[in-house]
Amino acid sequence: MPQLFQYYVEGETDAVLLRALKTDMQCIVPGKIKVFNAVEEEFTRARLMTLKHKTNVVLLFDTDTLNASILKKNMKFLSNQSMIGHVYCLPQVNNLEDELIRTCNISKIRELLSSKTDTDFKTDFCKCTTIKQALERHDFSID
Amino acid sequence: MILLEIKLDNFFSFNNFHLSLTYPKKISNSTITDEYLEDRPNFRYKKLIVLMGANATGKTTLGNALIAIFNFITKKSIDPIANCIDDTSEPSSFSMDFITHSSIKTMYRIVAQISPPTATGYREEDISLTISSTSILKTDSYERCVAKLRTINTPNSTYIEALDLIDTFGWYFSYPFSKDSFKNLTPVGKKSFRIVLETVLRALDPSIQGVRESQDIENSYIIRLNNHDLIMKNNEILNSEILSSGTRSGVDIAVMLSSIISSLYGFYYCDEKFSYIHSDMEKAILSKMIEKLGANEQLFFTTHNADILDMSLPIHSYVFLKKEIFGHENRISCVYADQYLKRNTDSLRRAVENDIFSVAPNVDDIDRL
Repeated sequence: MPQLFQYYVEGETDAVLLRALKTDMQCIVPGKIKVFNAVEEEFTRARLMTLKHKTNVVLLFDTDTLNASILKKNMKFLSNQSMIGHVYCLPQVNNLEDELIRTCNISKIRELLSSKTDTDFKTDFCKCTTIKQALERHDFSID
Repeated sequence: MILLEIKLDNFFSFNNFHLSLTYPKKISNSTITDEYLEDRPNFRYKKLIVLMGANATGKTTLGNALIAIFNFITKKSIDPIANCIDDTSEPSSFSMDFITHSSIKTMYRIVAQISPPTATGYREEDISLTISSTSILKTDSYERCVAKLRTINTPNSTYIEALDLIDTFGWYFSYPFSKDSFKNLTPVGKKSFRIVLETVLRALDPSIQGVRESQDIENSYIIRLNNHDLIMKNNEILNSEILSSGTRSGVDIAVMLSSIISSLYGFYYCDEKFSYIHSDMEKAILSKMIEKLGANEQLFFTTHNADILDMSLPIHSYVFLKKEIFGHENRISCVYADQYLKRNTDSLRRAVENDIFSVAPNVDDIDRL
């Protein structure tokens, strides 16, 4: 029986990317995705109530923050919860945009979706209906 | 009526929507026997479609769209489909491949293009209709028949003349809040209805002692409960508050089940009728519906009950509706479980729990509340 996974990601853009990687490209371990910034917010027991026994948690977060104290606290908290299997960390160096530049054949994030500016990228990404095609067009590699 | 494919554009909330209801390869040891057109084993269509998805993804609306198209075809009136068009300033269209119950050796395709109305309402000239058909030979598959389709209406024919070329067909839709009447049941259907009603109601509430047909009041049944008699006329139970919500919904379910047992309509759309009913009971009744579904018939079954995923049904029976928001644009699409799970041993339940199909509802806002 495959294991259960729950992703917690920083923002909607990360969630959109993970859904494309999970469903359209089937290149990551599938799991439910929730937007929760584990670097800035603390987990509560109530938030974890809906998880089934031995659910593995994956925390996706940016590393462009100066303070990791809440993240450490969250990891300790999650590790002590009976419904949690393993806790995995997926740090983005430094953030989603930098990771996409690293994994695609682009030098600026605006190139991925032909956005007008780098700051338009996130909006364009969330509106994009063809993320898989855009990633493949720019030689995206999960490795 | 067997629905094989439907495409909708600018129809309610459906834009560039496509639902396919055939499957390409024979499934060995399938729990749904003879899942193909009678005497045409290569013509494989989905007899059962378990339609799932988050709230407001279009499960009920799809049923409404189908009713409108069926009414348009049989009543030859533009009104039903005119009411479905979302943006009347834009063109709208639908396309449907189907087989009627009365003529199972013919496959039809109807393609309708509806232009924005030039006057205050839609008129005959706003709709352009193409009807194609082909004979289904003994060895034909759906795919082969699609390649053989030929237009049968003349270019100058009106849509009414064109629709005259299609045989009549029946259908039965049951919605969560609809009150389904047993008045339309045939004498044979009515005979089975009393037995089915009694069986379903007693299963839902063991304190029900029996159901009998009223001798004094037409179209009425007497439900005996704890030495009280409850009168059910048409579909209204007098003093029904002494029955549980689930028991009351058993009446509609009995109408649906009786219709299937009597092969009354051929096409059935059972939309979330089990909200008040125990999961085991829902599974048992769905199993019975499938077992009693006759040759050349089709059942749509919509539900939120994840336990239905554990039933031993072919994976291709499960279709998920997904609504995605891209800026100001909504898009509803179908996700077919068999496109992701290739082996029958793959756990559909676990796939849904891990949201492989990205169809889980977004609960982030609730979490943040």
